[in-house]
Amino acid sequence: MKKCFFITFLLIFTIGTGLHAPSIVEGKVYKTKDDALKEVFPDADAVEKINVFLGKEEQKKIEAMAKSKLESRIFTFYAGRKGNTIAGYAVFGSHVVRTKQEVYMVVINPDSSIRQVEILAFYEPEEYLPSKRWFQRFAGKILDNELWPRRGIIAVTGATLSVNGITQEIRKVLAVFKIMVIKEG
Amino acid sequence: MKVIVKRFLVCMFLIFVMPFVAYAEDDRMKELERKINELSQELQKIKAQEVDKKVNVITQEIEKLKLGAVAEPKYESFAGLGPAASKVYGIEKGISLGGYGEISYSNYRDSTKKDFGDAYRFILYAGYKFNDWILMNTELEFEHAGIGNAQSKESEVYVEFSYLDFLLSKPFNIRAGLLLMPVGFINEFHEPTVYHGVLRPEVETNLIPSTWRELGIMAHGEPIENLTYKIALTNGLRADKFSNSTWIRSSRQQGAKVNADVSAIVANVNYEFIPGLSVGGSYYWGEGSAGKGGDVKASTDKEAEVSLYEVHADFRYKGLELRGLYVAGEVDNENDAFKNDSALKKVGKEVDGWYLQAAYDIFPLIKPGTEMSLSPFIRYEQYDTNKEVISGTHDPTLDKTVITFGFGFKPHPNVVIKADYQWKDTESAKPKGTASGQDANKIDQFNIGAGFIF
Repeated sequence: MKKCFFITFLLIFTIGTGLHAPSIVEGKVYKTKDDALKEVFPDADAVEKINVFLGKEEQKKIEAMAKSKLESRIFTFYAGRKGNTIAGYAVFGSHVVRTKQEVYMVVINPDSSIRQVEILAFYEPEEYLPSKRWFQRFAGKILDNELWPRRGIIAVTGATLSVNGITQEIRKVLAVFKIMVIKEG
Repeated sequence: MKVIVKRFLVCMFLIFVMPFVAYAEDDRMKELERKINELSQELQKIKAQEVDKKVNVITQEIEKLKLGAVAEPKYESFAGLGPAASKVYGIEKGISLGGYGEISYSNYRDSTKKDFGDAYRFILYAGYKFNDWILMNTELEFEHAGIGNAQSKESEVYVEFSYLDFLLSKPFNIRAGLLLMPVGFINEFHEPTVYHGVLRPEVETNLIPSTWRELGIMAHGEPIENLTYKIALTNGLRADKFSNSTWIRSSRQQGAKVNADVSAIVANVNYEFIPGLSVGGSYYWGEGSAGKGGDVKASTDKEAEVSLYEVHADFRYKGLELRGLYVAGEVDNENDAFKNDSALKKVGKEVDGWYLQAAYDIFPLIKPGTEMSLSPFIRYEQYDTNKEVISGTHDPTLDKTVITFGFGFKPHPNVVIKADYQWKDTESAKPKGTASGQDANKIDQFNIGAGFIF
């Protein structure tokens, strides 16, 4: 019985490794910034860079709006332009999950609602990363009191640090976008 | 006369020609001014472009620092790996540290039982990434405040898990080493900020013996979106360590001088129907034998087989968390040495248990827009480690019901303060108490605790 188990397992592992080893393309960097921009603005005539530098006062205002501390006062937004209209804005950033980083992209509609959130690189073990479907749930959300874990954002067992961290990052970039890019509030 | 005419002509010349000269001079000045303005504007433009260029370079550099390899436009392939994968060879290797801890105090609602305080666990987590697809993950656990053992307080230092993970592809990966058994919720997710209550659910302590870890090799992955599986071959159990109150808990070998003569197989499947709702289950079958690895085999070795299965569901919506789990197990094919042992024959031949739990985070109702949480919860547990015995009679004091009501307050998502009350009851007719003829499993308790992860 036991020998059968060992042989079966060894067979599964050997065949499995053989089948899967050549397809090791799912490294921790899933997508580059340039590729991500091409994907989110496929028809854009141009992708314009908007550099945002925050003064002390603006920093305070944004922190109050996001209810989170900013670690950086420099942000770069990418506006996808088609003719005279802006299709949307993308912003990239990173934060530490446990001791390693995750790199994200947030795509924002011109009305400052979220269009898309995507993880471009994840350096912690992937079991700490919430599912793609979980990230899809950010679509349409705006910066309000629902944009918190256990409110509008579902908590994920085993990915607490990632869930809390990314939600906080999204609140920050939305606040920067509102105050500095579309000059709202 | 000639002189007068000459002077007259000079004067006339000066009167008529000089204004033209002056006018021409003025034009030149204007032209010069225009040129200077143009040059100055050109210079400003060049300066602005220079500044813009510098700002762009600075922002690009900052972006590179923030995003790492993601900000790189092109990758070079390395050693036959995909370009994105090989890029990571140059960066993000090395050690990753984390951990958690929990401290508890229990006040027993019976004057004959002494109150209990414990720096229960301090765990250091260390991961090491050799490259982008091979990593090592270890949890080093200090239990009961240290290395033992001063005055038999049963302190422990244990490697809770330590494995090598070979991340081959999304549907198929291999893990080998000291593994956490993929059974139930708590065994794999047992950080104090993750579960409700000062103490872990008893069903996932005495029936599913969390933290249950054994040596073995495991295949795991996500073959279909949102469907994960784990299947492992591990060492079996120590049949001589089974007990009637905690069933197979003491028979876990925990990677310490393992009797590898006995083996086991465990399989687990989880499916996330929608974000927030996941359902899963697992099955374990294992052999049990007496003695540790390297001991001499004897015909008197107690032997038995254990099977166990559980199903579970977890639902979250906004501040609401609902959780349920059912588990059942069996001890089978015991040899005579096992059946004739006075302690082992009292062991549950059949066991089962379940619990339901509900919690709700009320903090956003008090103060919206904050990372703090305050979650009252209630858990109802019913389990019997002695449903059917090997031989003899069923012990009703082991047919238990535990109701836990309390709360967890998180001033930060990674820090929790907990308090709860546990009402305990059994099927026995004995009154509660620690004396002979009384039932200690009926003693209620009040618990407070604190925990953290980092």
